[in-house]
Amino acid sequence: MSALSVIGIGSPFGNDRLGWEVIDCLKQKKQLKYLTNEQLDLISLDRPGLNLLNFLQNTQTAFLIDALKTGASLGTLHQYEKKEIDPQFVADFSHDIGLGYTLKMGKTLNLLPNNIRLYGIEINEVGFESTPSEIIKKSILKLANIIEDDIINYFSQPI
Amino acid sequence: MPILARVEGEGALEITISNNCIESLQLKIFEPPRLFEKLLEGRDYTEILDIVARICGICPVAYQMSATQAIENCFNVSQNEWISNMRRVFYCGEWIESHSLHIHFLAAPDFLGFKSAFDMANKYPDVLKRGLRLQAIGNALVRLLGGRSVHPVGACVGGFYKPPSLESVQTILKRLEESLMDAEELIKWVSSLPIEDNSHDFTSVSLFNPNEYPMNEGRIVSDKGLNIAISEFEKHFVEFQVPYSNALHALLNGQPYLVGPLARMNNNHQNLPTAIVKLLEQIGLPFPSNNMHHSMLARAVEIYLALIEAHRLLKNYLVPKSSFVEVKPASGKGFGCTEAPRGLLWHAFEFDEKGVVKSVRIVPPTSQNQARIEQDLRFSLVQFGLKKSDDLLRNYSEMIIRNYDPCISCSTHFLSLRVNRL
Repeated sequence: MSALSVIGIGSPFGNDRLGWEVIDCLKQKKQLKYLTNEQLDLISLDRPGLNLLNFLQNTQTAFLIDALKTGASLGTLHQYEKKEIDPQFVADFSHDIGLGYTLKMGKTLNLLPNNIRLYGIEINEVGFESTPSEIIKKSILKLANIIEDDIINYFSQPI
Repeated sequence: MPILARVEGEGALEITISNNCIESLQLKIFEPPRLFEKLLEGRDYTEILDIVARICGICPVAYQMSATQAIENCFNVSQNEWISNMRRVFYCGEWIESHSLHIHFLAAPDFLGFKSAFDMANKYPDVLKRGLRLQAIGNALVRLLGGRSVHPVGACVGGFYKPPSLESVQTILKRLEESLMDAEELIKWVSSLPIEDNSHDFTSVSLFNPNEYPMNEGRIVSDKGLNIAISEFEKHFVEFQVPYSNALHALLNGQPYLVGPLARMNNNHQNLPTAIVKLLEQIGLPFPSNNMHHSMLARAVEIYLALIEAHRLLKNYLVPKSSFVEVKPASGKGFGCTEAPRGLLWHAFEFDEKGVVKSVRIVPPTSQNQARIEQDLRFSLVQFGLKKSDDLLRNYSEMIIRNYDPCISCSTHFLSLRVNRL
């Protein structure tokens, strides 16, 4: 079991890769490299569905990263704490019923970790390109910096 | 029934009732045609497995296995024992995760009177947690050989790109042993659910293999006497377009037929492992069965079977010198037929001398079941009572359709209910 799991959820298609790309950025951060595997686990998952709950059971705290559609402007960064997770609300994440359904089921079955935070980047369409769009790439870098700070703060002052 | 809930994909049902009889019944599939058969034309044989895996997110292994069988059949490639065994383990993983998902999150709420799995989770949390554990071990088996559980990339024509390490196999063996009790308890739990007698006559079609419960290899049989090589499929089974649906329908000698876990169980229950036969004898062996509500029990039994089989095939695992055999393309036609979680999945490929695809036919199980589903609804709704309210007809129709676990995203190559009362 790890203290903190940071999980990027995505698929190979265009902007839907952003969760994975954030994880790739975090893996390059020098300040995070001193943390052990028992402290920090950086994971990329391809459309995990309910299988996400198996990963969430193996951690004390989870940061989830996914593409999001709320109607905000493209590239907007979002962040929600566990108490703000609402099934209708979470259905706005790009894995749509997948992530919303999974988190709702996790909550109902009491399988979610004590602390869970959702990070999202607003997209408009997924696309079939092999990389995210330029606007999303900029947001990926910003979000990776925010999450790096949050990870460092977590280990200096747990949430 | 405006939207069919708790099935994969989008579909709807329109019924016309007159003088307490069903005048017409149409199961409509809305998903646009996938046109994979055309997409594959002109592709090199090395690209096929990655493409067909994307036909379905729930059963990619099935598509890869049927396709590779067809390709190897055309190129005259023989698999060795290691490859045959690992392909069966690969398939075990898919059966376990697909059946677990269906039983716990799609079908069980029907039988317990819940509107959704969430409502069921409040009263049966341990049952759903068990379902998640079983689904997880299924995903782990697919990942072991496929590299990942969604659209796996580890299978290739001729075998697998990379053999699993001894350490990863030892880890999964332990998890398989821990899962056997869950599978046994699941069968007992499913057999305790209230199930009405929906028995009526239908034809069960599946693979048959005298040496094992079939997944990857066998002849095509029915419980009405059919026994053919997979290359003879087109002589007996006809696919055709109906005007109201994107999914093709299929008939065997002009009649609807069933494929899937219950059909497999009806034709192959004599090849179940001893441990499962004993358990079924304790609860009262219901197979063969013409009651479609026994489909869930058939799936539960297949989960247990797949766990036992995966353990049997992995317990003396050794890393091979090579995880694939040599493949040389050749012109001609090849056939593949394996048992997807939802039933028979038949492929026919034609290649040129360089191994480039000239033509393809893919016949998924859900489209084969479309005519059978309509036949079942015609029978079952009359038995249920056509004078019942539209809401009750909708709920009951959904339950009947969900017995087939239709993967509607496959069946277009899936409710809104409209009842017209005249």
